[in-house]
Amino acid sequence: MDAVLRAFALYLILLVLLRLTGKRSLSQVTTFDFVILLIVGEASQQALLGEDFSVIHAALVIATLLLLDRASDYLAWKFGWFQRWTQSVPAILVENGRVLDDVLAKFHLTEDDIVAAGREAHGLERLDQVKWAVLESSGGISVIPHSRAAS
Amino acid sequence: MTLQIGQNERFQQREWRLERIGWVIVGVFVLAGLVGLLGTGPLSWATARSEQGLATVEYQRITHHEADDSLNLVFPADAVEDGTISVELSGSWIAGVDIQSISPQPAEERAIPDGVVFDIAVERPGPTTVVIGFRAQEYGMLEAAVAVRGDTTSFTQLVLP
Repeated sequence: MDAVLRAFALYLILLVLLRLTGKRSLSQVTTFDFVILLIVGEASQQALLGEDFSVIHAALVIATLLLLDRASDYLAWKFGWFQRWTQSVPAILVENGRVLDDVLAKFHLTEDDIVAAGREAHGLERLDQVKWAVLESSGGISVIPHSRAAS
Repeated sequence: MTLQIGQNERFQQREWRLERIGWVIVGVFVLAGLVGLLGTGPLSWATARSEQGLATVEYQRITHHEADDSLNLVFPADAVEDGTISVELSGSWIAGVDIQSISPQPAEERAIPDGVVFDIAVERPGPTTVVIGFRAQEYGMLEAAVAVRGDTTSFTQLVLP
């Protein structure tokens, strides 16, 4: 019983905390983010396992976590509101060539981040080559350049 | 020209079906864990009472190997004799677990064949609870008999790996 309840509680805590940190937080994992992730894992391990070193306890914890994740996936697929609350929504950063500065500020992003995403995906050189840029719910920035024919 | 791809529709169908069955099994497994079929939980909590009621054991039917667990021994006022409660614990349980703590601590521990006797000093007569903390070291069924003044009860604990 306690294995299932512990896993459930920790799943909720991690879900809430990671949602609060925003979608950008772990999309680009820097070395420091990676270390933080390791520490989070280390810290939750004690809470999950306690003083129980049995195989069946570990199996129950893992099964509960995977089941919750799968259930959350299913609910997100079934209900739009559940997906919005647990996985966020995409946001437009550049609208038809016009940079939405207020949206950028809200996400603590700069034009450099958009140009960087454009360089990586399409080899773009300047911001004015970007037609659309979207901050996806997963945290990545996707860029759609002006088509060559149009420019 | 077709796409070079290792698609196999029949296998995909089979995989989806197996996945669904697998998730049902995982769900049942987690549910069994929640209700106490695989460890602590409502279905695991049990009480064993001796015939004259001199010893009552509150224990878990199912416990885990190498995990902290505890059980309560509850004694009524008549279990006290000359200011002590003499509890006799015997059976495979005694050999199969590592007793970590007994609270209150017994004034004396004595060995008997296949078991041990704890003498617990009682300050004031009345219902008394003794908590034994332990860790299972062996797998499978462990049986124990608890006797106070010749009044015996027994319990069985299943230790899962």
